Amino acid sequence: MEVNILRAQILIIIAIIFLLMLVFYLVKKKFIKEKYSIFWIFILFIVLLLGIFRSLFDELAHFLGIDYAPSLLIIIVSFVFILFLIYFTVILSKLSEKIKILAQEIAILKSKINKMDDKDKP
Amino acid sequence: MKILVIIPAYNEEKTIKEVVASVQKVSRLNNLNIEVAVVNDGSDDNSQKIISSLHCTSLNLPINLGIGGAVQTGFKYAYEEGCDIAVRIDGDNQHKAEFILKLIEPIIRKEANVVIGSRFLQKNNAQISRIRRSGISMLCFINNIFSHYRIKDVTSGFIAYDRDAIELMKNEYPEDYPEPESIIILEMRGFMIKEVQVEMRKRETGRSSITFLKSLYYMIKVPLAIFFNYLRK
Repeated sequence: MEVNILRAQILIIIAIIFLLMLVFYLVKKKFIKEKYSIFWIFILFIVLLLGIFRSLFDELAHFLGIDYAPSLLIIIVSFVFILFLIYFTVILSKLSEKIKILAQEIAILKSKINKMDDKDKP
Repeated sequence: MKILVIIPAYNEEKTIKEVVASVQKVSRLNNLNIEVAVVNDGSDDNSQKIISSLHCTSLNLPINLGIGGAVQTGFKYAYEEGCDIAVRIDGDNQHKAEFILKLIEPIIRKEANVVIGSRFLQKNNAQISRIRRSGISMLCFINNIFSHYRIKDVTSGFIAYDRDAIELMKNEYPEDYPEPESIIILEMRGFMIKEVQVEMRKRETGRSSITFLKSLYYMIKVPLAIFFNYLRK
């Protein structure tokens, strides 16, 4: 039993380290901005800590009055991810607003350039 | 007095030429200083070719922004060009250009900042389906909760704006189904809004952009947006 849990623990730790490395790689390649990597690094680091010190998590669940520790995990994970999805829609809204303004400016500039070209022509 | 007529066009190759010509005819006959600006909202038919062959300003959006973003481009252009009045008219030949005169008249006489061309002011020939009409009256009802103007046709896209209204609309114009929401935005800033009776044609080509699912979205999004605009006050 204990051996099995240890195996699972090692698997999770490896997976987390893989994800951390992936995030570092993507930031290094500038596929993710530093600004947005902070969240991922922070979350992964916490999960890593909980993976290493498994008893910490059980104690936290016990403290909150939750018998079955994994359900606490599900609550936390869903909350954090919903929060991040909301944050994403904020970013998306801002981006689409910026794109809209750029497209409008381009259309106006192009029309002005066309008019100038027409004037230059004899 | 410089007037810009804004014609938003998305795939209107069949009608755009006629619309531009009819506006220019009104301008000529009445000795008005009207500039026509067609906003091509990333059409994927022949619209762009046709528009650039006409003697009018063409504002070609490199990507499709939807009706709100397209009309707003017109407002930005009108503001930069120092226009006193901007009139928005549809590119599908639904609106009759001769009514532009009726729309700009109250603005010239300083009786209103914004004039809406309405189909329902007098109960007569409005040729639209019962479903659409009830949708419109529901939107009117919602609009009128937040507005003390009793606008009868909040979905009309045939509207004239004075320079102050142009300045506001160039910065704050809703992206989709902009008409009802924009009335609230204008009213909350203390703009005077007036409705005048106009006639509209039955659509000749193309379908309304409003399908069943879209109208469902319309009925939810617009009241919500109006509510949030009210909160932002």
